[in-house]
Amino acid sequence: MGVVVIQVDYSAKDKIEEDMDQGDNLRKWQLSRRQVLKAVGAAGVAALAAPLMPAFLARSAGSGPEEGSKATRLRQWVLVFDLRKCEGCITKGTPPKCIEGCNAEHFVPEGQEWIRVFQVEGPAGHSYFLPRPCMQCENPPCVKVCPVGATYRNDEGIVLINHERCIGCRMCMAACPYGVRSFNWDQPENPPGALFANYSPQYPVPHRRGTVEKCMLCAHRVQDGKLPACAEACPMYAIYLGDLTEDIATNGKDVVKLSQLLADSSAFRLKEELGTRPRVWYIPGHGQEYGHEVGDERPPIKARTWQEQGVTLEKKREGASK
Amino acid sequence: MNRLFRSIARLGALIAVLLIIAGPLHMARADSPPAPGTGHAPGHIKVEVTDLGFNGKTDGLVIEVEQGQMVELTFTWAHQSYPREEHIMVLQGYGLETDRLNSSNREATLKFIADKAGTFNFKCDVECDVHDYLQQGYLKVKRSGSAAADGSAKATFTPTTLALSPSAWVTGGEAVTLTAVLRDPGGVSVPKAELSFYLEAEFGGSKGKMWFAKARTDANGVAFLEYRPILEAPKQTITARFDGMGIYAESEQAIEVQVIGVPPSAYDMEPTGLTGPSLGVWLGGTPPQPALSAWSWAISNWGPLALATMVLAMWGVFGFILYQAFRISRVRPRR
Repeated sequence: MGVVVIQVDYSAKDKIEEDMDQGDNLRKWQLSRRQVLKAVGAAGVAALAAPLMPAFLARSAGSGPEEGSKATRLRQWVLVFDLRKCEGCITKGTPPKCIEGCNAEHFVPEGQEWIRVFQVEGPAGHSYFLPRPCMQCENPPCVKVCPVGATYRNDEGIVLINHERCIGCRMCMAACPYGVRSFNWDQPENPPGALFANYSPQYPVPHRRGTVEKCMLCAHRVQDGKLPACAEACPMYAIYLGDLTEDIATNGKDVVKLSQLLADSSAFRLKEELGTRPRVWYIPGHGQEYGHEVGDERPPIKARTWQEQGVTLEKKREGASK
Repeated sequence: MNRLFRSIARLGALIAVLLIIAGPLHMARADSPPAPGTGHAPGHIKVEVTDLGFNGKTDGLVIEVEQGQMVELTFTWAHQSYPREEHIMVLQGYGLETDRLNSSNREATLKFIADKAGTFNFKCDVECDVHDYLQQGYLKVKRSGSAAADGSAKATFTPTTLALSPSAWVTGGEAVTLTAVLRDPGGVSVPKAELSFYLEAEFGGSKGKMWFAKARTDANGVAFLEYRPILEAPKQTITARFDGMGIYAESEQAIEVQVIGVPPSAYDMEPTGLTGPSLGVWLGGTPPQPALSAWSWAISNWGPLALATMVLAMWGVFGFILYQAFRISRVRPRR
């Protein structure tokens, strides 16, 4: 068994230490115990705060004087689409009025539709129409994935986007199981005067390049006691705005008990199995109440954009003041 | 004698011939649906709900009555191959519907005065394609000479009075029992009458009467309804309405309920978060409504602090190791 003898040349080490003592530049890199503890403490606090940031950002994104409606209790908004009455406006020979109403209200950028009307094939081989806005989920995946807290859910259950914070990463678009979000690849056309309009997440005009947009249940209208633009424009009164807090809903003509409406008509929600708990219900049907024949396979007519409808901010203001 | 015998034989033969002729006629009448009464006499009509439609008619049964006539339309459940079939029969235009018809409740009657002339569809209201095609019938109400231009006749409905009480103060969240009493002019109670309750409501720019409940009168003509305010309005007008069931005159009564304070929300939002399996631990937003166990309470309250301490401790250890590694270069050798 051999013995290994290690010889250490202490003279070289001493030389280095002497250099360190003499060099001011090297001295700067020396840390005291206190400094190290301070740095560790700061890193710990940062590590702790990091997971809380999206929630904090989301909360701060929604803070604004115009948040919420004027009722004492917080509303919990819902939409109900009565498909027994929705026939895609084809028997009227017009484009779907809900889409056009939405386009005109929000100056929706060309190529986007914040509410879309799909023609769906039913189990009996017939077709029916399915208007699909944002589902305003109670458990929204889009909010959870937003890295900057730009998309958030306000106290009244409306999922909004703060475009001043949106960085255009499109994570929310990937996360949304309903595909209701659109992206502004280019600078969208805004109506004249819109650049000076007061932007708010409730009414995101002017539109901005590189941000995500979607239906926001006309948050600016419902908190003023008005129907969303789609519901107001629907000639069939097929769209109900409801409030879960008061258990009430209206389509602009009738005032009904929301829970009764849903229970009596076997209402359903889209992709309920995902656990997103959408706030949009559908009453099954195929437009039969307005004479839509089962064999009528005509697709809906393409909706006009706000430019084609000739809507301007001035006209909208005049209409609102009347 | 012979003449007498022959006369009796002739009479017997005549009676026999008459019986032979009248027998099938009588049988035919018995097979067909009973004819309703004429004029203003009550018309009792029986309809059998069979596998092949009303009275076995697949192309729709047609019943004719006179305008102004009292009609009793009785549906009898008579399915052979479908023992689980259920029906609720409705008479459109008159707004009447029966109780649920099934194998245990085999008979239901609509009793009304046919005051409106025209053809009215009666059918099963349970949404099903087979029902839609097979359970169809039509009530033809023939116009009487005294009918008005719109086809309605002045039927003599028995007037009723509906009393609703109490006009009350209710504290938000508490319930008040509304009592409705329905009587005819003689003070006789009207039993089994369905009353509808409406609230004056305003929402989304629309005003109207919102149906919110129904109640049925008991043998004394009294219906009770427990009302718990949901709407935020401090003054709420409640209307009870009796539609007459086709034989009585319509009546309604409104009261005002004042609500003190804000009623609770009608909706309890389900919290969003994660549950630790078999631990009852909740990580997420507002904790679920059932009371938390001591264990999950401790985690909910002290969990964040414990987590922060743990994270700090880990970073402290890392930092200490880093510091030690940094110090190695500064260690002076032992001489």
